Amino acid sequence: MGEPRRPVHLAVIVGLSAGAYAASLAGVTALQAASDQQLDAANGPAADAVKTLQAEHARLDDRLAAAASTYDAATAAYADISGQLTAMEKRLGKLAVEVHKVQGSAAWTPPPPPAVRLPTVTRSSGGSSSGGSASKPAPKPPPTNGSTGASGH
Amino acid sequence: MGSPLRLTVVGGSPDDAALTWAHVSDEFEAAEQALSRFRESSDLTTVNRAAGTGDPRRVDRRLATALAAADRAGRVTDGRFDARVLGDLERLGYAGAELPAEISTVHRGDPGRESPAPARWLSIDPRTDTLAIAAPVDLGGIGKGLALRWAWRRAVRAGIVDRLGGGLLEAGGDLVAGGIAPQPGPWIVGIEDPTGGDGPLATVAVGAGAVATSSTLVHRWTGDDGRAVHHLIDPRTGEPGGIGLLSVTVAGPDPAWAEVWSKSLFLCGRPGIASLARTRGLAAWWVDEEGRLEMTPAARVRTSWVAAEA
Repeated sequence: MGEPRRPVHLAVIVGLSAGAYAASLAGVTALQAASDQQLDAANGPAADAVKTLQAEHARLDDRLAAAASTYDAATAAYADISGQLTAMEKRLGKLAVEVHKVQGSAAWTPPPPPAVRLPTVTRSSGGSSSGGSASKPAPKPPPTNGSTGASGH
Repeated sequence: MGSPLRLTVVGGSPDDAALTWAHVSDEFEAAEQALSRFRESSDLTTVNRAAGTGDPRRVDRRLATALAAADRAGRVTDGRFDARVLGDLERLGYAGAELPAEISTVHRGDPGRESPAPARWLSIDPRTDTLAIAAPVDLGGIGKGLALRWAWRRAVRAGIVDRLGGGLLEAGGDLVAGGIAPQPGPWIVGIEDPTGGDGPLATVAVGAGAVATSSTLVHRWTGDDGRAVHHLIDPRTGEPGGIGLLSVTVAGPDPAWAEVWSKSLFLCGRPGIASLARTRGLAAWWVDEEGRLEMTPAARVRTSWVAAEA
């Protein structure tokens, strides 16, 4: 009886299988890496656009905040002016009351004294004279193209 | 409209003026047929006779436009302008075409309210070109303003401004003007003295636009109870309004709205007119019972001459 045979062929088969697996894994990995690179390259512009949009959004946010601040300031100024106008209206109301009182007082003043008749004055240079009466001529209205007044039904 | 018409044309030939006059008088006749409450056959009389029944009537587009404008005027003036005073006018003796008794006596004044909110009284169906009203209406003032607007529009389309040069159209104290005037500068319009004086109290410069006056100088009479009454009815009371005032004049771009505001301001009376006119930024002049002329800042800018300051 000789020595029992060692199963060398099994070891060879296992080795070959492991080698084939390793080779196919390497191939697949290489292919995937290439694909990832292409995808990255394709997504690049979109990613840039998103970044640009984010920047624009931030800028608009800033401008909106500035506008809101200006609006607040304008509102405050308007409220301030409204207060002043109200105060002015009150003062005008008081003034109107005073004017009314003055008109009432004027109605009770005694009649004016008789008019003093002034002497005739003669101008030395022109030689003309003016009498004592000084009645003011009625104001002459300018010519008009039409008139507004009493209306029909 | 019961008002004399007068047209002034600057430039062009007599034939041009005659053609423009034909357009204007034709438009006024059409407006009268649509809007007059004095004509038995007018569209307004037809609608007034059906007031409150809910029965829609097909009418001329002018009447539909006028009623819509009157409805809007009521809202814009917070109820100071209200066309539904016909019942009050009839009650006080200023009668128009005959109306059924139950309609003509409608009084919708509410003395207890400072400024009554105008209720919906107009129903227009644009699909059938029909309308119905809840109470009879008088379109006297606003109707004249609208007739002026429409007639002026036709005159402009006929070339009164662009082709001939300019013009001024007057209808019973209201007027509209545009284009060049006979003299250098704008058109000059005199505000009549409502106390009956010969000359105007002031003159107004009008480049392009309208001027309207509400006054009690005409259409005043003695009522059945012996009171002196006039045709400018306060919708809040159903009685003649405008305490302390004789006339109110308003200038603006459109004759119909100038009429609406002159009447609404008149009804405020002497105590309230200045405040409302200034608040609304109106160019308004008014004459009180003492014959004194007052005006708003916007009116002073347009005033070219004042008798009291001359």
